[in-house]
Amino acid sequence: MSALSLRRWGHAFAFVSLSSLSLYLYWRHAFSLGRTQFHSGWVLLAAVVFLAAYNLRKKFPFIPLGSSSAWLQVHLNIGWLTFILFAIHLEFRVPTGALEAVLAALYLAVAISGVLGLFFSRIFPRRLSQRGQSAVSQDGKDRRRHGEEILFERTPVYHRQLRERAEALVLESAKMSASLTIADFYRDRLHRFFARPRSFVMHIVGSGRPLHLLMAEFAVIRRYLSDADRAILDKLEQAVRAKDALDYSYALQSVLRTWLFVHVPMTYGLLVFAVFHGVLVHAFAGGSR
Amino acid sequence: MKAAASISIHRPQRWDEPFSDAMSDADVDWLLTKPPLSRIDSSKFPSATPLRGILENDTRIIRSQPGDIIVREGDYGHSAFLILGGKVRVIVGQLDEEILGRQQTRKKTLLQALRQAWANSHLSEVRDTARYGKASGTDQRGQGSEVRVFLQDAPAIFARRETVLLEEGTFFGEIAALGRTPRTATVIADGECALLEIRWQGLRDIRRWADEVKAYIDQLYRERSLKVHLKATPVFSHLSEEELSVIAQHTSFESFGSFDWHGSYMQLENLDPSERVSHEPAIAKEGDYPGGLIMIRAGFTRLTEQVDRGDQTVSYLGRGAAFGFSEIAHNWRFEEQLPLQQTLRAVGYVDVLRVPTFIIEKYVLPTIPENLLPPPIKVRTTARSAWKEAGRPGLDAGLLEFLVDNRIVNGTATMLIDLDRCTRCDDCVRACAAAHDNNPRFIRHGNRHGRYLVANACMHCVDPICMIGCPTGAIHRDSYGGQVVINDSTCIGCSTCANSCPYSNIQMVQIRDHSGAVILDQNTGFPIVKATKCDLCGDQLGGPACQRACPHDALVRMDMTDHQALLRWVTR
Repeated sequence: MSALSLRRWGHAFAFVSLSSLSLYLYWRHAFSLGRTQFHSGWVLLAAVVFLAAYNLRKKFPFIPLGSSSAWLQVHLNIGWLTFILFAIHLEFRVPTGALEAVLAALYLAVAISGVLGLFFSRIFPRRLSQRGQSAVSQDGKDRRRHGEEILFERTPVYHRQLRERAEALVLESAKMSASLTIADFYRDRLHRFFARPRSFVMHIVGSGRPLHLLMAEFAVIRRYLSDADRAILDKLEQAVRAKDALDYSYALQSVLRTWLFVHVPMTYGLLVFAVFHGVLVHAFAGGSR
Repeated sequence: MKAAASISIHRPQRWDEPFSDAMSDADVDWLLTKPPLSRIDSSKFPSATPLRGILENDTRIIRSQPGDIIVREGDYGHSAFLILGGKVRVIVGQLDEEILGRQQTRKKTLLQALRQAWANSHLSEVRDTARYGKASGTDQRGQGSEVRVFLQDAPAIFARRETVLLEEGTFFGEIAALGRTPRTATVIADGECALLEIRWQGLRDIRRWADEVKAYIDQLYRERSLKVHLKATPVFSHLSEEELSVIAQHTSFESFGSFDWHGSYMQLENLDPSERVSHEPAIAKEGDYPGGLIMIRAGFTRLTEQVDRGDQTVSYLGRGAAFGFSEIAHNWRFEEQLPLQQTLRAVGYVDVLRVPTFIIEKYVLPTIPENLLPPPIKVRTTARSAWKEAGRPGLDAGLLEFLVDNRIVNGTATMLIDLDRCTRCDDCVRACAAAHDNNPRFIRHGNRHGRYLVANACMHCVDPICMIGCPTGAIHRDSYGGQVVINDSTCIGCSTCANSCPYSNIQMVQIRDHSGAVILDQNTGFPIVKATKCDLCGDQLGGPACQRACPHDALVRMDMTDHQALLRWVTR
């Protein structure tokens, strides 16, 4: 068994153990007719505070607080555990009060965005390293062949380079021959394609349909061109493929970067509401404990 | 379209760029009157590289002032020195790091680490200029790469320290120059003196054609380093001093490949992969008789096996490794005549020692402990299939070829990123910036093979070319962890290291004061620049921030000489 598989099994075992312990404690208290919500609430709040602390750990990398990967593993385990704690805290019912409903919705938004983030983090890197690394540099080299990594921040530069290259090819065709086919094809179909990133959702779901449709249109006009224009069309096709790969990389990297902009702010919102909820609950608890 | 007209130029020649433009015929005439050069028989030199030509193009005359530091212990050199007039002193033992222009890396305390949270500037590359020019006991004269560092009170240091006096006609620095090993001592001018600095190419040719110089240098190496090297090699560790002396006398020194590999290896990138290997000289060939044990003294080698019609890389060996022992031991034990099973090729510049087989059979094998004997060799009876070999377990051939072709095997802390796990979050880049003046010391970009990316981060090379030629010794190996670091206080911004690094992993940056203003040279008005690179967070608690910041275990700093660690990481 590889080191990573062993670690995964270890964390799965820890999660099952902690979940079982939580459920056991809940049932024991429930059968003795005790109120568990104060305890489960405080444990849940502590867990969410700990989960939020991971972001602080990232802000201070020079302080020796353990590796980020170890934090992430614990973050994931505690995160999964909060599903159990949350259910216990709600006593397996749907919340009815307005504040409780908002709080529950915030929790679910944070938790679901976290699960989605985990999914993206596990699936998209592999897809990116298999495809999505092809773009054309200033010297016209195919970056995938030369094994270069596309930096997300430089995507607009690569986009511009590809558009300029495509426009230069179209102008070359117009100057060289009397044919307007390539120029018209570019104006009606490709100009829009090269103008900005395209097919965002289709790339996320891994569909190659937009590119296939475009390539079919290339095939339609190719048969009517001269040899010289066909050579230009071939280069244009290469540019389209490179742009599609760039869009693919852009779409996946965008999602990998932006899901945290949902997850982290919602976590802070959840913390504020949770503290408010705790104050209210204790203020109006009376002799119910 | 009209084809571009071709142009003709002279094929670049070795002496197109002489070591110094100042060497005149009169200088060469004068040099040829000075011993030991006057004793060399110039008729033995070939017409393409006459002795006069070597002296004119591969040497320069240096006039040192009292207290000038000529070489520093630990520096990597590409030249040797001959004393033409005056005296120099070799310092026995280590001088203070500060005197040598280096910094002592000290780990931050927990409080200092915490203090960074609020005390770090929000601007990039901010420096406290008050600390510049306060190196204790030394000063500088000259400009740029011609700058000379001198001891302000050399006589006091000579009085306090044990020194060895070297006088006119003596060579020094030749071992480090030929083997690209660190200088073993610091040498300081004792009064005004004239020195002939000979770059390695010239020294190599003089050694090749002047028997007395070769005998002199080889004897120096035998006396100073060889026995230590032999003793550190496991297969010789059980031998007595007398036996080691006999082996040392029979050991020959050989060099392969181009010393300037860092300037030429990138041109090989355009060749077909199968052709690249053929550009690397074979030190020993598969199928040949194992004529001796080959020990690698400096540089890197590639081990290849013939697969179908090509050569497949199966491993790489670096300094301290040995080749051919398995075959010699097998033949001795089983009285067979097995040839070498693999080819050893020089990747870049390689310096080897060769101990003849009969010496190994006579002195080493009869008394070697059983646990040091290699297992018997299983001889292949069928030709190898490239398809089957490509799928064998361990480090796959493609990855090995990639690591060797791109000279990544040179790194002891290479930044490898597993792109199948990397989410491109740039936490590593941000962590690096937070630990280094708000400016990351690497770029998450670089050579890529499949799912593995070798990022543009200093690899802390086994053969650190960047350390050759630093005029102030600012770039050096840290005495704490052995990593290559730059002392910001003594870096004069000459860019020698940045231009030398074959991997483009050293960046020159403009520095600022606390207000954010760019600091200018008061003489020229140009911005002051400093060389910056990864220092492996030597002063930070917990080790490299980049590796600790990666949430997905995608990034690792890998010692490429540790094959097992690499294999474990790749197959984790």
